[in-house]
Amino acid sequence: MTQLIQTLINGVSLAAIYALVAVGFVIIFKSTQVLNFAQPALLLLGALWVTYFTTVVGINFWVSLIIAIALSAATGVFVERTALRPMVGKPIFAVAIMTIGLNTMLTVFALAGLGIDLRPIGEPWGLKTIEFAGFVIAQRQVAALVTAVVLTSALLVFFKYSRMGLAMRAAAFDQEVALTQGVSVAAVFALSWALSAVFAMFGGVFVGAGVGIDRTAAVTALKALPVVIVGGLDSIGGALVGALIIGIAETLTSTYQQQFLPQLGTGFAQVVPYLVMFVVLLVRPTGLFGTEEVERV
Amino acid sequence: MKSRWLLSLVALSLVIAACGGNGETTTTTAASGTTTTQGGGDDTTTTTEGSGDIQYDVGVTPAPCDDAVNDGNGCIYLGIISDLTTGPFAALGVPLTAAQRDFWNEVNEDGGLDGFDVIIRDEDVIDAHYNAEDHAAGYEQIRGRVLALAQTLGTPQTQGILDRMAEDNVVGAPATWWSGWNFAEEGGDLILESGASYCFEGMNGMAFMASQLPEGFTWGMVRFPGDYGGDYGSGVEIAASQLGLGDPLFDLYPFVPISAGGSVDEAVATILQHKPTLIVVVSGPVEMAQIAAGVYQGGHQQFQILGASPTWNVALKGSEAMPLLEGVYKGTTPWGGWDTDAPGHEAMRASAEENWFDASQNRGPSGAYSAGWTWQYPIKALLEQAIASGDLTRANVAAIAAELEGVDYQGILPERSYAGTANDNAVRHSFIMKADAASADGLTNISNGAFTADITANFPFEAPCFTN
Repeated sequence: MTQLIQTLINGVSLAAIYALVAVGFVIIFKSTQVLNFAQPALLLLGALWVTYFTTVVGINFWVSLIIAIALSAATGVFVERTALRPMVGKPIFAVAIMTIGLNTMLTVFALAGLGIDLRPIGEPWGLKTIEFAGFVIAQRQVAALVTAVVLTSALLVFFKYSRMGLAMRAAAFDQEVALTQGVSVAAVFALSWALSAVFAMFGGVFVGAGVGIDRTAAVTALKALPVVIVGGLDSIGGALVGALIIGIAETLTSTYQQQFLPQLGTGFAQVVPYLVMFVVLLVRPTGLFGTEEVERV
Repeated sequence: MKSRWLLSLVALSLVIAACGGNGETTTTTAASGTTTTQGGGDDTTTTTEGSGDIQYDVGVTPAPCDDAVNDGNGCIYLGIISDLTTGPFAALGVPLTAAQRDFWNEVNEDGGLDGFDVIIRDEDVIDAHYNAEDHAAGYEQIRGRVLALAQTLGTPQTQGILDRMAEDNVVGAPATWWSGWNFAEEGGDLILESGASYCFEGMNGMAFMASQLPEGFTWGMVRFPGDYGGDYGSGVEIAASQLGLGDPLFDLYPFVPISAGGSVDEAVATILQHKPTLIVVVSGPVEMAQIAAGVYQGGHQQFQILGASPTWNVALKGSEAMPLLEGVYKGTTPWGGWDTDAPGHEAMRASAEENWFDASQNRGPSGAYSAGWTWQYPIKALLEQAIASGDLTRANVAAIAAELEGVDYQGILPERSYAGTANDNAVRHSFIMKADAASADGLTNISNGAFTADITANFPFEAPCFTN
């Protein structure tokens, strides 16, 4: 029982990282209808900014984080202005392919900055743990969970109560109607990319927390794709639920598969997110919380 | 009419000549002779001409190298096929390559090799991304213009080009410690390996740990796929069996590298289930550090790690995990650490400092830089002996390589020979290191110099420990 609860704690913590990246996917899809395959590169770039300021420039982690938030947001806006804006009105498929190209370009840039070695993030949690009710929990796990909850809650409050949030919801609902109501759809697009890049950056920080980050970190961001497919591409709540499902399924498999199904070999846990995605797609193609498309006949 | 036909024929000949690609014959008129070399890809051998008293063919010119250090010297061209950007060993391939270029630069600055400078040109350095197909394609690119390979990184990748290396009589220094390179039937005659194989490293490491840990300790293994995990793991298993340590509590093999989409979660969960005293890790440095951190944070805090040499990277010194690693990490290496007091180490450190002593330029104190440097000594001895024999043709170089003797590593390793059987000439000692933030490369020797376990010393080495 202890092992099961410990595994669930680890799963929730992993889910928090997936959620941070997945929410970024959803923000962009909701407001622009674009499936952003450049999210892994934004994660790497975000982590690069943090590690650069903490280890190369040598400034405090929290100050570095604030600078990295600004730089990540600026990167998001820059990408939207230079690469996505000219694609407005083009087929969604073409724009999605464009984001794959963007991912490659930004990854090359990020990798050049990261270099080939492991780079410490410089966060204050390190490998410190806390004990709670007999369970050992890493401080970075708690930090990831708190960050995901706080940021996502703030985002939901922003969408619900702020003027810009309302504008973003209007643009997500119908861009043309929003335009006629005086909403600056261009500003909505730019803000979406900025927010998405900042969420990805936080994901990158927690991927690298503890040991450090290297060029393999972007692999984690790819797991956010099954997360959003499971939760529903246009649902922030769905992204959270999807992250929980995928995170817990993956850690449960990691922990128990060798015990109960060793025939599946090693590394099977890496397949589980995609297996869950496959099953959900078969049963409910729009994801658990995605909006079903309504067609007028 | 006849003249029009003649003109057409000449034009056609010129077009055919211009279209010539692989297999094209080029003739170089040199200062002291003429060499006719055959381009890469075709099986035709080269015409050999003399340059003074030296015979030569592909990858050698009597003319000086571009930007030659010694204008009066001829030039020997070496190639490199490595992982420089995207593969799992890019963090090793870059400093390996830097070290090898620095090594030959030092040789040239010391006057070269009896009338020849040795150069690794940019166009002869191939980034194969640790991919066997790219490796083979890279070899095709450079096979017609280099005498030998200063580096061929990866066992399966090197095995993939062995047939063509044999066809071309091209010798290479491997960036791998597979135990099969000691055997002629595995292509070992063309491969000049240095230091103990992964297999012997594993044997020595396990025997050393067994001498340090309390009797009846438990152990388990986590290892990458392929020759790396297979060979090292085999050595560990042989030692465990002979020492009566029993079977491992678990053996996660093959353990998927993070760069290939893997994660350490399964390894950490398995280790936490069994809580072994000793965890043998045969992975990359990131995986090793993440496993150590995950196990410690998961509540199992009384363990030791035995890591193969590629599990360490000097960058771990700056990691939040370093204090933990200082307590738990023990690693095996084929030669002493960066600060070792030996002429070869001294020359290496001086070269790194001279060229750019900066870890971000990959010339800092790293095991990979040491490895790149050390692997060049057999190539140097080989070229010296070929030049002394008056025959730098590939065929002669390959013939000498198979029976090469008297390789001087300037104290980094004892003088060695490649003649005789694997059982006779294999290097069997390793260095046992511990993580230490105070040392330049993050490692300090704890085995009082080279360590050869009795099991390793007496092991009848009659076949590779692991084959795919």
